[in-house]
Amino acid sequence: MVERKGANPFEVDVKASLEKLKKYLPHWKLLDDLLLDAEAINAISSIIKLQSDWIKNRSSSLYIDPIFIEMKIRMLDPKIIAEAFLDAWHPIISIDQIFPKKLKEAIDYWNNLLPLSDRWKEDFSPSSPIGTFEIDDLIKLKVVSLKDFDEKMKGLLNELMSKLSKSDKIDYWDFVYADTFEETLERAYVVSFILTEGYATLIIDPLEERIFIMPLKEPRKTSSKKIARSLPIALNYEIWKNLREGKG
Amino acid sequence: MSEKEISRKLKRASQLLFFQRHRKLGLRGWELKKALGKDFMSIIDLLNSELDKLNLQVKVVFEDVEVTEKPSEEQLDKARFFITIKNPLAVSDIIASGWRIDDIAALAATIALIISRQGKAPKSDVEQILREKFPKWKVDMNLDRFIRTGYLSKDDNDILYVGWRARAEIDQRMLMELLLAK
Repeated sequence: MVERKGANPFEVDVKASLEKLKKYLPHWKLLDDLLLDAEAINAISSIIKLQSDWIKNRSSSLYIDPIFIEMKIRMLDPKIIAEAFLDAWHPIISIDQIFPKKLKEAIDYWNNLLPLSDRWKEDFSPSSPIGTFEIDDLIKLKVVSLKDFDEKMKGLLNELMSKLSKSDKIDYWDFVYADTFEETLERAYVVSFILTEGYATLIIDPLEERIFIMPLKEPRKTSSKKIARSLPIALNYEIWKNLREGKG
Repeated sequence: MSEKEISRKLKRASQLLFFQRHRKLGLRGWELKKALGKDFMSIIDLLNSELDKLNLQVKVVFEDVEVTEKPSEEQLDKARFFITIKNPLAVSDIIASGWRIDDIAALAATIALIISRQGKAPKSDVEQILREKFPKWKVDMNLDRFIRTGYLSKDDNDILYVGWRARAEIDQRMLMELLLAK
């Protein structure tokens, strides 16, 4: 009650409460009674802590009697209170805006977004259950063979490590970009496995909005307790075209 | 550090601190250290002298404790950094920014009351005092707004505390002194 209401903790007679507990302690036989006593001791120790805080606060230069402040607030005109406040107020300055690049991305997203009725039709039609293609699915569908995929992964890993030996990080898009869209898509797909297997990691520069691939000193174990995060990176023909223009 | 490097880091520091990145404004010290390097405080000091010309300042709010002497590295890592107005604004500027004078008075009274009660006060007590001067609907609306915007925080027992934003923006000592002087 004292803690909740912020009342004066010295109004509680700690000494008398402890003496009362001491007096009745030999009479308690049941565990429940002793537990209640323990609870009471805990509450009394909280009061002592509040008393200590109370003294610290009163001895600080910020201490002003709350009754006095309440009186002032009640007496003063709101305009005068506001004026006093303005002299002590230094509002935070921040900018919250959309940059042209993000705005363009949003417009592109909007333009490519199918009407909700069409999306629902696709998403909930019984013939097209929601799911993702794992490498096993692609092998089953004979899109890739396990041997091919392993070789591609080893090849790309060697290429990545050779580039990373020359600099501490490389731009993600510089690395996955290839002369054709299909090849770029394949490289991005294989890189995602290299990262998942823990041979390298991604870091993001939020200001420049760039993604870098960085080597890991030791490959991260997939069983590692360290939480791995997923980072979706969109790649479509438009993005690839922009990359090509950037290269040109 | 070369002049070019200092200039690059200054720009980066101002971008990081000006642009809102999280729902809660400001950046933690460790975030600045990650972006600007171990000696990030020297960049912040430089930024502060540049901001001074624009009546702005970098305000450092330490977690839980009031740090008066040189803060430790750990305290700086956990501290939150903001850019605030340095010298007080005129009433007309504040009103132009969308605040009503009676809303400011309600905020001032609430914060002063909480400070005087060792940093916490039951919401019902605050409401009771505010209702002496403002209608109930306005008191409810204002307290909700102050909590939502971080000027106040509230626990499950309906106890109000000084919020993170008030700690960043309000010179508590000055507020109390000015109120007493009125």
